[in-house]
Parts: sequence; structure tokens; C-alpha cells
Amino acid sequence: MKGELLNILLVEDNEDHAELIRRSLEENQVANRIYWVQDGEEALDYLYQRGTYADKTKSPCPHLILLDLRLPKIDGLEVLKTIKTDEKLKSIPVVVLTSSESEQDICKVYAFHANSYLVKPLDFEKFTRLMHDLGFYWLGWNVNPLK
Amino acid sequence: MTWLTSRLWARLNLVPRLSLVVTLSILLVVTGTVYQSTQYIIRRTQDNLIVEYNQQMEALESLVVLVSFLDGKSSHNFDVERLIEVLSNFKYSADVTQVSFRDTTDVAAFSQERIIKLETPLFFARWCGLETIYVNRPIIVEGVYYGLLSLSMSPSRIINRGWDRYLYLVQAMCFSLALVLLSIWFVLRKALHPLLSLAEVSKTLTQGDLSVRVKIAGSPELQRVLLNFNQMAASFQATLAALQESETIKHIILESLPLKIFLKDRNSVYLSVNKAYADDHALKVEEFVGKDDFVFYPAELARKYRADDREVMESGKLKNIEEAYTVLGQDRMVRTIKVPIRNEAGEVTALLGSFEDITERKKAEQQLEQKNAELERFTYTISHDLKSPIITIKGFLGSLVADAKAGNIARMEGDIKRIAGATDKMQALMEDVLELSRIGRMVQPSIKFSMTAAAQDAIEVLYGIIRAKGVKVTIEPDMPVVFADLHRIREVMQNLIENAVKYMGNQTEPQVAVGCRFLADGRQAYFVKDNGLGIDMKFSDKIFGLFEKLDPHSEGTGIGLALVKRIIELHHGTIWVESAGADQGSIFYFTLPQQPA
Repeated sequence: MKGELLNILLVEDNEDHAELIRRSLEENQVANRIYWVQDGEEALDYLYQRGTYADKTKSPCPHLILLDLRLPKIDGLEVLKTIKTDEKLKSIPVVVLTSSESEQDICKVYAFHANSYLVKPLDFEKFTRLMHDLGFYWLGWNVNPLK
Repeated sequence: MTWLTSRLWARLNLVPRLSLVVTLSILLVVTGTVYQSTQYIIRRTQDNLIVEYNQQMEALESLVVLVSFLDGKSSHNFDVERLIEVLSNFKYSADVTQVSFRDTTDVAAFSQERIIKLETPLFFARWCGLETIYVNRPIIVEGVYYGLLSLSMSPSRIINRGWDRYLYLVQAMCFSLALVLLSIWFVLRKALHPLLSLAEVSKTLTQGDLSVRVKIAGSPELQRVLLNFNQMAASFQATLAALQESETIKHIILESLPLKIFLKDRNSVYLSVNKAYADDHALKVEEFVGKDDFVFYPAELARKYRADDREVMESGKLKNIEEAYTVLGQDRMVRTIKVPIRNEAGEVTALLGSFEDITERKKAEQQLEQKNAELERFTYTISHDLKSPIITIKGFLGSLVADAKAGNIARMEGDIKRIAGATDKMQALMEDVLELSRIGRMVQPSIKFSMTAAAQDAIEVLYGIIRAKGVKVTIEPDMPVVFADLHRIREVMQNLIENAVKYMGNQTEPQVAVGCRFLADGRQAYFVKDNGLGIDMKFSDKIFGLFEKLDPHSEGTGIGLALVKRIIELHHGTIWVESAGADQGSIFYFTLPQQPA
């Protein structure tokens, strides 16, 4: 661990899930800051620093995006597509974190150049373990282009 | 003449021909015989006549000499008087026409004439070749010449008699000839009758009546021929009947098939089409024969069809084409199969095509695809949304255990609340899913009711929330009477009005209006209008999705509009939303199809 503060943008409409993710990441002492948005539109507003997210210090560019697929307003696939077709945003690693195990979703997500696809485990232990590994891998081992 | 004879001959049947030939031969023989015998008779008669003449002459001469000179007085005294008397009283033969005596001075001392009339045609007389016979005899007694005695004898009587005989012969001959002709005719007719009836029967056969047969009669070899003929006719009849039956079956198959069938030659010219094909064009089957596609289709289409035909005939391979097709002004989808037809040598000589209208099938396929996609989406949504609370429950249960171990009582209470919330959510979701599936399954019979009444019913149910939010709801009093499932339409009204009341935002004078208006296309649309939050038109479709919520914090599972949409679609209507944007309010419209009278 380099001990540097890394920013994670969590796009998750379910408040409980967001809380679980946040807690797991914190408990695993993955040193980072989590910015949570609840729908696709908000996520894009954050990334393009529009509206309430115009302040760059309060809403910095994330080093990693954790993206749920089923989202209100603009759904996750659309958000992914927008990110990966934007010159400025496409280098940000996007990890899709969803409860869907549908093959179609997996194919589409990779076709839109997502960096990883993870299924939310039902089991709590596995869930925390996944969050631990996720943080460890993406924020520890992985060399981030934005740094 | 020869030409005429040959023409006549050609027109004669067998029996007259044979009769004629036989008769003519007999006639020839008989004529020859008659001629010969007549000639013979005549010659004989003539010979007799000449003998008779001479005898007559000699008798006369002796008499003349005797009478003239032997008067008993003087031995050499020539007495003319006595001579004339003798000549006058002499009994002449019937054929004698003239008798004369000329003395030494060549004066006719006696002359007597008689005329025997010729009673035959001149040709017969000529044909007989008989002439008048003149006999002169000088009277010389003891060397002294006293005069010339002349006698003429005519053959006319003989000729007359010959003519009579000849006539008799000819008559007899004609009679017997007729008799012969008749008997030949009769015998031939009798013998040839079976052949004649064969001719008649075969004529009837060719005219199409195959049930006729020849009566077996006549000579054994003829009977064999007739028997064979009958057998042939019978087998012909059976074959034709079988052929006709198979033709009929083929015809029935071709004409009853809903498939449209056509046969074209190598140049894409129609050889035949079936009734279904002709009916498609509102034409008769015969109107296609000998024409090509350019007569019946627009040039562009005809060229395309021709290119397809050529491809099939050149490649010799079947082609299956699905394409758009216009029939009687309607656009349809058709499936055409074109098959090359080969002759015995294996060369492609024609093209058989069949096509069927698959518009309905295509539509059904599309609908099925749509339904499948819908079902897939539904399953996907359900599985995802039901999984979410489980993750929450399991996650926070795990967290609860950790908290308990750590003694973090403060967080435990929050976790339990979250777990309870998730189970509530799950229950609500399950109930909603059940409700949604019930809409499709349980359809109550449509009844007539006023839309105003349906809206008023909905308001009664929503009385509490309307009052709490202080919303003014107005309902158009005379909305049309519709024919639909009252319970479900009331549900639609309830959902729409509830949404309108719920998403009022900070409106100080919240208002909801329910009414009905005519659209530009003439349809009647019912609407629920509010002056609340409004909807970003970007999401105008998404809001009708199952468990879709624009605001994650809002109450409910997000099934309301999905339910409404499903009800309206089950009534074959449409639903949509219009909004000028945020805080501009929104109008939900829905239509119900034409009501039965």
C-alpha cells in the first residue's frame, strides 16, 4: 500500500448496497475516498462536473469507478458507453459491480470496454472479501493512469 | 373427266365400289356375248336369206320360162301377157321389195314394188351391215334372149327381227345385271356389316363416348378384329378414366391450395397459374398464359422477378425468397420458392414457383419476439430486483454479527432497520409482480361505463392523500362512455392521479385535472394533467419500465406506470406522457380503441 488517497466514484442506486460497499472498503482499510452518486444522470454530472458537482475540490476526478448496471434515469450501460467513448474519461478504470449474472450483460459490458465485471455476492463474508480484494487490486497493485 | 371420276370414286364406300367393279365386269362380259350372239344371229339369217333369194329366183325363173313358153300351143312362143300374170300371182317371199321384167327393148313389161319399213335405229342397221340384194336374171331360152328379170330383196325385216331379239337380250341382260348388282350389294353388305358398325363405333369413340362397343359378328377373322377392337376400347376407357381421375385430383389439389402457384417457360413467360394466383390479381387464370411479369407488375419488380427466374434456371437450384409484395394495393410479406423444371435430358426448360402470404406469420413472429424480449426483460428485472434486498439482508446480517462481537450497539440498530426495510421491499416487490401477472391472466368482461365515474371512483380511494397534500382535483363531467374492464381502468386512473398528487414538488397551488380531448389524428384521448414536478422528456419511455423509478428515494417499487401501461396495452390502447420540463407539470394521455356501438 502506498498510503496515497485514491478517489472512488460509486454509482449505486440502492442505499443499503452503497452502505455495505462503503463499510467493507473502509473496514478493509483500503485508504481512499468514496464519492457516492445514486443514478446514471448524477454519475455523468459528476464526471463532467456539472451542476452541484462543479466544484473540483469537492468532487475530484475519480481513480476508479464502481458502476451498478440497473440505475434510475440513465442506466449503467449508457453511463459506461459515455465514459468509454469520451477521450478524457475513457482511461478511468470502470469496474462494473452488479447483482446481474446475465450473459448478455457481461458481453455488452465488455463490448463497451469495461475494465472488470464483478457480481455482488449474496454472502456477507464473500462480499467483504470481494471488496477487500477489489480495493487491494485496483487501488494497490494496479497502476493507475491518472496518477 | 378423269379428275371427276377419281373424285367420285374417292367418295364411294366399299360396298358400292365392289358392286360397281363386279357389275362392270359382268356388263363387259355380257355386252361382248350379246354382241357376238347378235352378230351370229344376223349372219346366219343373212346367209339363209341369200340362199332363200337364190331359191326364190330360181323358182321364179323356172316358172317364168315354163309359163311363158309352155302354153301348149306353140313351143317357142313367148307370151308377155302370161308372164305378167305369172309374175303378178307369184307368191313372193316376204322380203322381196321389187320385181320387174324388162324386154329386149329395155321397156319395163312388169314392175311391182313393196316397201318394208326399217323399224330399228339406223346405227343398228348399219351395225348389222346388211344391204338390199338385187338379183338380175336374163331369160334366155334355147339361146334366144327375151328379157331381164330383176328381183330386190330388203334385209329390213331381218334387221327388225334382229333388233327385237337384240332388245330382248339387252332387257334380259339389264334385268339380270340388276339382279346381280342387288345380290352382290346384299351379300357384301351382309359380309361387311360388322366392319361398317366398327366404323360407326370408332366414330362415336372419337367423339368422346367411350362406353360404346362393336357387336361381335361376321367371319371368324373379322370377329377377332372386332374383339381386339373392343378390348382396345375398354382399356382406352379405363386408362382415360384413371387419367381423368388423377387429373381431377391434381386439379383439386392445385386449386384448393392457398399457395399461389405458377409455371413459367425459359423466357419467364407464364405457361399456367393456379386459381389462388389469379385471384390475387383479381384476374382469370387464362389471362396469364403467354404473358410475362411486366404485364402484371411494376417494371422494377418485374425485372427483379425475372432476374430471380434466370438465376434459378441457370444455376438449376431451388431458391427461397422472402420479399415484400403488393397485392390489390396492400403491402404483404410473401415467401416465394422457385424450382427449376427439367426435361428428360436434364435441361432446365421451365420454372415452377409457389408463394404464400406470410404477412400474418411474420407479424406473429414479430409479436412473439416482442413478447419474448418483454418476458426476458421482465425475468431480468425481477431476478435483479429481488436479489438486491437479499444482498442487503445478508450483508447487514453479517455486519450485525461483526457489530455484536465488537459490541457496536449503535450501528446494530441501524443495521436491523435496514434488514427490516429490505424485507419490506422484497414483500412489496413480490406483491407487485403477482399483481402484474394477474393483469394478464385475469381479464374481467368488458362493460359500459362512464370515464367520469371511473375517475371519481379513483378519487374516492385517494381521498386521504389528496386531502393531506391539499390538491385540487377537477374531473370533466361528461366524459364518454367506454366499453372496457372497469376495475382495471379505475386502477389506471388511480395510479395516474396518485402519481400526479405524489410528485407535486413545492407547488403552492397543486392542481390535477382529468379529462378527454380529440387528438389531431381524430382519436379520443383521456388525460391526467398536473402542475407538479414535470418529467424530463429524456425519460418519457423509461418511466413506464418495470420497477423503474426516477427518484430512488420515492415511495413504492416503481411498478405503477408499468402496470398502467400493461392494462392499456391489454385494451389495445396506447399511453404516453407529455411535459414541458422540470416544474412545468406533466400530462399523461391514454387512448382506448374504438368502442363497439
